[in-house]
Amino acid sequence: MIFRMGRTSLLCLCISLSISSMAFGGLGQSESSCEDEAQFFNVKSHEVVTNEKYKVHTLRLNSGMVINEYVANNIVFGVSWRGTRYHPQFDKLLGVHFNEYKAHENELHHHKGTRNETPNSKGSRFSTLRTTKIVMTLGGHMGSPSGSAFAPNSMPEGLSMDEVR
Amino acid sequence: MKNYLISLCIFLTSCGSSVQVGGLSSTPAVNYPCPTGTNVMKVTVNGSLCNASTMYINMPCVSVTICVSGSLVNCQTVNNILLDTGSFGLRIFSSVVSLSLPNTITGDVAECAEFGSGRTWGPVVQSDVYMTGIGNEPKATVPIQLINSQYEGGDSTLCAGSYVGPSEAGYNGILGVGLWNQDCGSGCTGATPEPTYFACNGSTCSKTTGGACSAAYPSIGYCGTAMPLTSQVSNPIPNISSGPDTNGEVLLLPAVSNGGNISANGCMVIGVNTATGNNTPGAAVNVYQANSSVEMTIRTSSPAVTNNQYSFIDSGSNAIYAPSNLGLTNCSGWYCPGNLTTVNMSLTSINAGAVASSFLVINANGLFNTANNAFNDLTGNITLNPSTDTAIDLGINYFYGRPIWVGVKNTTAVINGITYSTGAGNNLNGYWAY
Repeated sequence: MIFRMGRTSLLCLCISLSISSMAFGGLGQSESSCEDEAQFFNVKSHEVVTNEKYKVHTLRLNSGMVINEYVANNIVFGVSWRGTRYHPQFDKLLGVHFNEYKAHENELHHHKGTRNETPNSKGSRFSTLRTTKIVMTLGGHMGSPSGSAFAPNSMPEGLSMDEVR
Repeated sequence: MKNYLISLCIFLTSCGSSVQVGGLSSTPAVNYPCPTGTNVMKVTVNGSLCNASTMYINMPCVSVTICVSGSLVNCQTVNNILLDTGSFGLRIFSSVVSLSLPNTITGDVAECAEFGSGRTWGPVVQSDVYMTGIGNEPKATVPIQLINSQYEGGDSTLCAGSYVGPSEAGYNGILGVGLWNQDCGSGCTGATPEPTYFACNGSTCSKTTGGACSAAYPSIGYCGTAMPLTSQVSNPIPNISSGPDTNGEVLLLPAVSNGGNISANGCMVIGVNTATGNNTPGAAVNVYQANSSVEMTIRTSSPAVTNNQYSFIDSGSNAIYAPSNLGLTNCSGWYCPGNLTTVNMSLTSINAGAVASSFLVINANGLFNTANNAFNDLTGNITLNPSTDTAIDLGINYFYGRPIWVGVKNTTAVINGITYSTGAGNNLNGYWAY
């Protein structure tokens, strides 16, 4: 099942501006926050695909960035992004777990791993932060970075991160 | 039977001469028979040009000479520079640079350069770059980045988590000789520049917010500072001041033993089909034109079928990195199959149908339990972007025993009798050839 939604109306834009200062979207928020984010990002399109165990909201931005938000039990349990030459501001996607990222920011960006530690080994284009609250991976290459973040505690029962496609 | 015995003896003498390093065994260095010429740059994977105390495994190092523009005296040679076909332009930690290098004509500007997961912060300065030493390949006069996480207020606002220094990064700098000329391009020159370059005032660097910038970049919320192409950090190769070698390079590294070697030494020859040392072979090579994101599609057919639309070839990645559904045992981020396994794949670029290739994977934990550093069979496991379309990063392993030519976009070269150039419409984004 696929919904397609067009550009935001002026009315919607006004609503989104009024709430734009809140941490309204991303991990741990309700499904309706996906539409709030779509409006804030002024997306070209917002599609929803319903799978057996979860839904995927796909937001396509004018800049070329594509953001996926993964939803089950009315909670956003994962986000991923790709496109453009820079990562999005993480406060807009990590929702209630943004502070967890900030607390471990250096672990994620700095490759301090030794010879056999991965994925944070030096020389890797990819890096993963794993805490009890968040599993976040950044990677790609200059000109095309991308990433994902999951909240393990919000994953639906019986679904592993490897199954999310 | 006699023939078999002879070949067995050769095999034992060439491959069996393991030595002990710190209680772990290693296999001797392998060397590529490099050509000679003014356009030949020495490359050592974990060899003499790397800093042994900071290097990581599978790390190709080169030495670069930088000079104050126009001077042959105010110069400095810096070793332990990562050779990176996956980025664009030279960046060196300011802590190892003793020269006083001026700003570009655009003034005091810092950059946040994104490398996927890592990032670098620091000012853009003008320099003469000699890749093969003064008196050899002519200089490239280009903007470079001095990496300094503390520059003018520090990285926390615009580039949080940037690299701090060589001991953390493993290298003194990065020589980006990838498929582009500038590291940003036209996206950073207009009225709403991408959030990459930021004007500084001597104490802080600032972003541009509001209005058109918020609308242009709602996912990040601000613009950068407009930076003319000639002031952007740039790949030295297309900016070599004279001669024919401005269209790319070929990286020549030796084959590496299964299980690794302590180091692997070879060279980068500047230019594509411009001199004896950088000619493509008589047998036709395949040319893979990259898309506008410097990527192509790689599908694996065994051990599992995967489709990876965002794939790339990159000497600056220290292994092959493949998605988590490759069908092999995963040990904490590395693959660790019980036996040496061949992954069969096909590469599809914007100009060519599927071309078959493969790479090797062995138990990474076994490799780490040696003193070797150069590995042709080390593969990492990434769960990056959970969609049906993901990436395979063909890192430095893929270059071992396989000369790979890199063509810079908007330059001209003749390969297999075909002219690749922007005018011909077939070099819009650069290419790999091998």
